[in-house]
Amino acid sequence: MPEPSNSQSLTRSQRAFKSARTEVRALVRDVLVEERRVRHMKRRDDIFSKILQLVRTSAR
Amino acid sequence: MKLQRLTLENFRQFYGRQEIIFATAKGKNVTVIHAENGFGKTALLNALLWGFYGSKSLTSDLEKKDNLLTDCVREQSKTPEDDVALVRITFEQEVDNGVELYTLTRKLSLLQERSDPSKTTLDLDHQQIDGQTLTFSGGEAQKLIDSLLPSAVAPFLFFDGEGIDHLAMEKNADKVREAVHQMLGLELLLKAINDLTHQSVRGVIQKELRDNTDSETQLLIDRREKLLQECVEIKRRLDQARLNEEACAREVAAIDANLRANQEARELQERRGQLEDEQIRVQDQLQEATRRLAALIADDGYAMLSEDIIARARQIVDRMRAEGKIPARILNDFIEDLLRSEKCICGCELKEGTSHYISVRNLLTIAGDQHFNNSVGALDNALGVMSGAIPRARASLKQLSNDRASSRVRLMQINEELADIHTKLDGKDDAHVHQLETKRAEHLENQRRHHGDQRVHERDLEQRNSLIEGLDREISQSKQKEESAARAQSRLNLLDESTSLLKEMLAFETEDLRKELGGEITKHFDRVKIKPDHWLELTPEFTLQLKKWSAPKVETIVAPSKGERQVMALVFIASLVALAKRRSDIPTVLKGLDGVEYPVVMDSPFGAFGVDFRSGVAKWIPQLASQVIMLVSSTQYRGEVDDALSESGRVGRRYLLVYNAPTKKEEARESITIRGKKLKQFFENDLEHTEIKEIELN
Repeated sequence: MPEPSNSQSLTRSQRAFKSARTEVRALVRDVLVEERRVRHMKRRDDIFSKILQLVRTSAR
Repeated sequence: MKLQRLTLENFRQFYGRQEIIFATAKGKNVTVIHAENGFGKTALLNALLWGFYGSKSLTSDLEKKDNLLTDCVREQSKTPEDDVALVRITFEQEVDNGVELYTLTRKLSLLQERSDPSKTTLDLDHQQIDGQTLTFSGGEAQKLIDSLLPSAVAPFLFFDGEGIDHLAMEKNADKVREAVHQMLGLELLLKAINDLTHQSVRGVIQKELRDNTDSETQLLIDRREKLLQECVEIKRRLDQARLNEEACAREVAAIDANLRANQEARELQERRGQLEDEQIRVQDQLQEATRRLAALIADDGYAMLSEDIIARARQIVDRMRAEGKIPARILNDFIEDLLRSEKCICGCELKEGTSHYISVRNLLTIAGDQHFNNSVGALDNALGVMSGAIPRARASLKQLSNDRASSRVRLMQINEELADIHTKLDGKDDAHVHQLETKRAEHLENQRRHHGDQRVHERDLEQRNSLIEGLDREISQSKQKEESAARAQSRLNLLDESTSLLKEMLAFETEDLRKELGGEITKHFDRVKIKPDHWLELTPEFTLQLKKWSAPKVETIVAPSKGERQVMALVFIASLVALAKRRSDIPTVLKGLDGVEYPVVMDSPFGAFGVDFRSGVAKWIPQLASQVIMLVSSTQYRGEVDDALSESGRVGRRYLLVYNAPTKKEEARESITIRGKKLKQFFENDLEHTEIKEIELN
């Protein structure tokens, strides 16, 4: 997810993302990257452990 | 995505190997497959669905779903493991720098059909842009197919034209929303939300928190969790009540427009409009006066109730002043200093026990205190301020009470007049007016109910949030000393905040796309040109409304006929496909969402249309998607449809389904005439099956 820069041309969701605190932004961005990788998988065990790892790294 | 080729082997009535090559060129994007009813149109549509998704996707109107092999193959089989039904689909997918080719092959042996026909074998070849071919099978192949053509989208791309009339109606709103999410990439946000809140993620962190806290704190955490869950449910109900209220308000507005357009009701309705506007204004005034009154009582109310006390305090201060007690002529601090220094201001020594010492010490009985002096001065000043506030507060109280009373009287008058208008309109001889008025009263009542529900839910939510805040404080106080618990709590907070952000983003993105979709719908509906004075609107609940001007500036919701609903559904599909195509141009928080082209495959697209719609729809259908495949019967494909499609010059390929059987079905005809050419479509044959024949017409 790109870091939105120009506040005038931002969509509402981009503005919401931008105004979140840094840790939340980072986690959301990383989770979406992981979700993209497993987008169409039926078994989702890997994504769960991956997200857990991301959360644990983000808030030590 | 464009479909290139469909190959069938012993699938349903398509005996042996049969093939269709689809039209894919830009200016020749339409493939027409002609077939009499019962000759295999539905089976052909289902061959595509089965190929992509297996047996779970077969349409409800397909008979004997478990019998996928051709009957005669099943009956004559000697090696059931070798006799198979096969569907092979070749399709192309545009990528950044070219086109990639995919070939999927789904098979079902007779042996497997007998035990469990849902278990098929699937292979997928992916020919990449560099010429390299990757081969996938089973679950991996299905994953790839789902990534290219999500199954939730399939009902919008492969459909029976006669059965789609409820597509964009209320009961399908959730399906429509899901398809919009899938087709336009928002399911990524949805999946992230589901995964963050999943038991395997949030549940694990929650458990870590519990495991690291004492039993008392665990109880607090459990209570907090329960409250959080209740909040989610209340929020859902609140959103629903809000949507319901908005829907009722729209209905009332539409009825009002109808009443204004009606000669009989116009005058009363216009008066009602004025009164309702005034009602809102007066309600606001009443609310404002009440707010100011509350502020007045909070700030100055004490003054009005303290008149006696203020008077008594004033008397005491005046008396003390008269007695010379204030201000004090001599201060006790001064006397105490003299006694401590053992020297008087006259120069005498003040030794304890001497007459000088006793005389000076006795002065303490009449000396005043500096603090007392100051306090009485401040009290004196405050009494002055309070006395001044009393008449001002009384005047404001009187004014505000009068304002409130007059607002209440006016509201009562307005309500009486509104009730009178309702009675008059309800009692009109004009049945239409009476019906509208009855409906209006119902919607208004529901609107009020939903509004009331919202207030209740808001209050419930507020209560729970305040309890959660209290619990948060208690939890943090009790467990901050434990580092691991504090860490788990911080992780849980991070998860919850991230989930909330994703939900907010999803709501914004969905609403933005709804507006874009609404724009496409207007554009496509204009192109169909079946109802020039009508237009289509996509509501916030993702349902379609057909509207028209019943008088200048008066819009009315129209109850659509089956044919109109079918057109609405087609327009909706075309709009969704068009939006998916230009997805990369729509601003979004998600990166890398490319525009995707989808084919549209329609069985009987002209099913319920009257003569007035056929031509308009037929002229527009080639523009519906970049590739259009139509399965049509002779009764649907005639006259104006044939002319419009032929004139468009967009028909790239045509096929005829030829039926072979020992006897002809009674209602079927032996031959069919297409563009003036007579073609035989039934052959007497002991072996019942359908053949696919390409036809050339010039």
